[in-house]
Amino acid sequence: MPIDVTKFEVLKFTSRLLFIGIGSIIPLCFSPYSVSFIMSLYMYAILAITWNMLAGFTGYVSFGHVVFWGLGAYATAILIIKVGLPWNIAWLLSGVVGCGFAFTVGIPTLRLSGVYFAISMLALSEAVKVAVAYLRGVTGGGGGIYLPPLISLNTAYYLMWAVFATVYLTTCFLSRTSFGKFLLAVREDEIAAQSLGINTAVIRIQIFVLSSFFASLAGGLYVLNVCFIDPKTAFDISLTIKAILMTVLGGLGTLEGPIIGTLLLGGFSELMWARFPFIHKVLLGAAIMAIVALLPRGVVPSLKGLRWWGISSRSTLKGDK
Amino acid sequence: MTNRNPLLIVKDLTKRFGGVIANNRISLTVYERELVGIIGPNGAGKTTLFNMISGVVPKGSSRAPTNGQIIFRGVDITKKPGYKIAKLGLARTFQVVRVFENLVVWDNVLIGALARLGKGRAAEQMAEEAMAVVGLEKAKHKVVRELTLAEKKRVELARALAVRPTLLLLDEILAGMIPSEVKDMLTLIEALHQRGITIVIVEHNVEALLSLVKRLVVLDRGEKIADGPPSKVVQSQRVISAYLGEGIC
Amino acid sequence: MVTQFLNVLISGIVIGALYALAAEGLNLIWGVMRIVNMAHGEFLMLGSYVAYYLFIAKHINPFVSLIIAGIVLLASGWITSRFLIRRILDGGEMIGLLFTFGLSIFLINMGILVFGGQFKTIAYLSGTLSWGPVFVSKPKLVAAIVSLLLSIAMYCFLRRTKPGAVIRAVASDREMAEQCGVDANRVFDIAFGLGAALAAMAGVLVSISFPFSPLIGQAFILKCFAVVVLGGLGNFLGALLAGILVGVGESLAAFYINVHMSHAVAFIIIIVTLLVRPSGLLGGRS
Repeated sequence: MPIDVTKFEVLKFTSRLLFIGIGSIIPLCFSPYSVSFIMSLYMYAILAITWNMLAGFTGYVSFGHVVFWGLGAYATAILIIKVGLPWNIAWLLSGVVGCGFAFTVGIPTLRLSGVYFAISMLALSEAVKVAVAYLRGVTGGGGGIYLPPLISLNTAYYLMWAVFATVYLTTCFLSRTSFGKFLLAVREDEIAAQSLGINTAVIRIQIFVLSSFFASLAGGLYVLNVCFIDPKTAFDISLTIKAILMTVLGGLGTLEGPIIGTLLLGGFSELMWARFPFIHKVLLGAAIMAIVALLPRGVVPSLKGLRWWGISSRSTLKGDK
Repeated sequence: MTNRNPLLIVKDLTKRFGGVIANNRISLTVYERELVGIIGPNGAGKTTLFNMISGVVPKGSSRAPTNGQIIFRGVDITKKPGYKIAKLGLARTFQVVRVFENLVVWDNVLIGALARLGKGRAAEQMAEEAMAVVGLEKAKHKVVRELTLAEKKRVELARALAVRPTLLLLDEILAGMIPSEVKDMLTLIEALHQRGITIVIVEHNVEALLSLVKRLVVLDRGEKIADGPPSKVVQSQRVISAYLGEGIC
Repeated sequence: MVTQFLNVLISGIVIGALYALAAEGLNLIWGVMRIVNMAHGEFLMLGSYVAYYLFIAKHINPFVSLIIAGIVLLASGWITSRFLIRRILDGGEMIGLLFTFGLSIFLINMGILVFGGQFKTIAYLSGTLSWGPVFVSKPKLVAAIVSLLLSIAMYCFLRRTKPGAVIRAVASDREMAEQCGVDANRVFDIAFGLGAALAAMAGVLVSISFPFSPLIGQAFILKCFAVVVLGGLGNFLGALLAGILVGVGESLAAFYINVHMSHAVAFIIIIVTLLVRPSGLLGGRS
């Protein structure tokens, strides 16, 4: 059973780098359509990973995750159009906006118990949608905001890839730190964690803000690429659903789970979406139910054969809830 | 000869939940290196007392006592949140064991050590030590969920020890254990006491405590009704009538 | 000025009664099974469509459909619980949340597929009733009265009958009830069915009051959450009161501020209540 730890770690690390590295040559080998598709996969992966940060690592399920993505998109667009900032500054600032929002809403809401947190995040997401539609002057109201094309597809691709790599490696890194272990403690038993001296409230806020940062950046890149955003798209619950589904499918609380879930779902979606626009959502719903009921731990922990690849049996960030 | 420095001073502690007075003007002083037992019939307020002292309450419950004061190591901790009190050197176990089920034993104990030290190597050493004291080295990589109750209690204890506590509160740690497990745990607790940790232990199993502690405190319906050497306490009329129907020995 | 206010108030109370009925089912399921039924809005939606198709195809009086829809959803809910929900009951609250979330997505999109996305309505009742300057929409008033009656009927069922007492026992302490010989799983199935039935009946009343589409559930679920949170989890009367408050709040916001804000009322109520008084106005399990 005991694989040599150092070899194992090196193997893990290299395979992760390889996996990420492949992304760098995509635009050189594939058509713009494929590049766009893979970029969207990265985006979904970012959403899934960031949702997992909260739900998988700390046990706080949020049904309003899309709000950060949407705020990132809007912040980027508004900062470019209304404030006149260059796109790169606007984009990075949108991440900060997401953080600020997360911090502000996190402090009161993270105190709530699991179910109430989930619902209040949903309520929040819907409330922001309404607010954005209402503040016509700033946000263009229901009609949305149009951006001129400011970056090429390849730039957008590489940036999305970079954000993906960063957030993924960050989670890997965190899992090895004491912060990462404290996250697990919070998830497993928050009361016990407190009794050990862990300031669980601060930990929750920190991971919440961190997850929102990357989610917002992803939204910012979306709007830079697609050049349009409106409240309906920005705060569409579908994105939250997909992030949840991908994470749960792949393995809630694991490091690679969200990515695998994204690959599986992305592939499936691509096949189904074009042909059956509404059926595919029906299947999405059925899939969530099936996975939650039958494979609650997701694909990754259930596949013994894959255990060596990045999933430490020493349970750094594994778990089921 | 006990060291007479007071480690924990509870003054006139009252805690009211809605209409129920869980703790009613309880005053208690625990000295360094003491091993104190707390007993009492169901509903006496023993766990509430622990919750008030440790500052760790179930989610939704309010932490602050209705009245009174608690001083630990010279610091007023009456209103302090649990995690701050833990950092001052107080550790506890729970009536219903609260271990990190999905993690392995090692991670459970390591988290305790990390919470205290925050860094890699020293924390690992502390965790190793705690596991050794409790006798869990062999189970290092087992997932806690797969352990027996007695083993889980040891994990919880090791985790509490990894915090290097000055004061250790044990809440019904013997509950659910068979006699051989009880005997082992009592030996362990005595060993911990010998290492200089002040221990306060709440128990239902009065018989077990009689052999362990030199001082027994009795609570009944939120009040402290006795406090002294076990032999005297069990003979007190008040204590006997409080337990009438329960059987004290 | 005063009459305007009265009209706004009445309009709010009337819709609030409907919210209350819709929420009672959610409250029941949540209180008894500790599961947040994210698909509750879809049960309501199904009720609306049952009434609609019965009306269109067979000209069946919506008030008769009320009973039919209630029975259909009672059965469907029971079946769902028996074969699906039971599997995930031990998983913890999050599993229940995620599962019913999936169910919700499934039902909404099935709805779009089967019924089409356009808005439908049942023009069974129409017009307004008025007393002097004060007026109220007739279908909505009737819907409100029926909602109230159904809510009271449910309350009496829970409080005054033996099956109701059993349900309440399981809700308050499952283990205790099981020790007294109650099969908690069967009670869960019934509670889930009843909850679905209540939602469906509310849905029928919705169908005669205003236009609806497969997405109507989405709109209602948040209002239901607001009602349950504000009224206190498991607190039946609280839900009634809260329903009216939510309705009135929305009505006031729509008239005195603007329509957008009225949508936000439910959300604001949820967030503010959870932060300030999580156990709700009249208290409940928090």
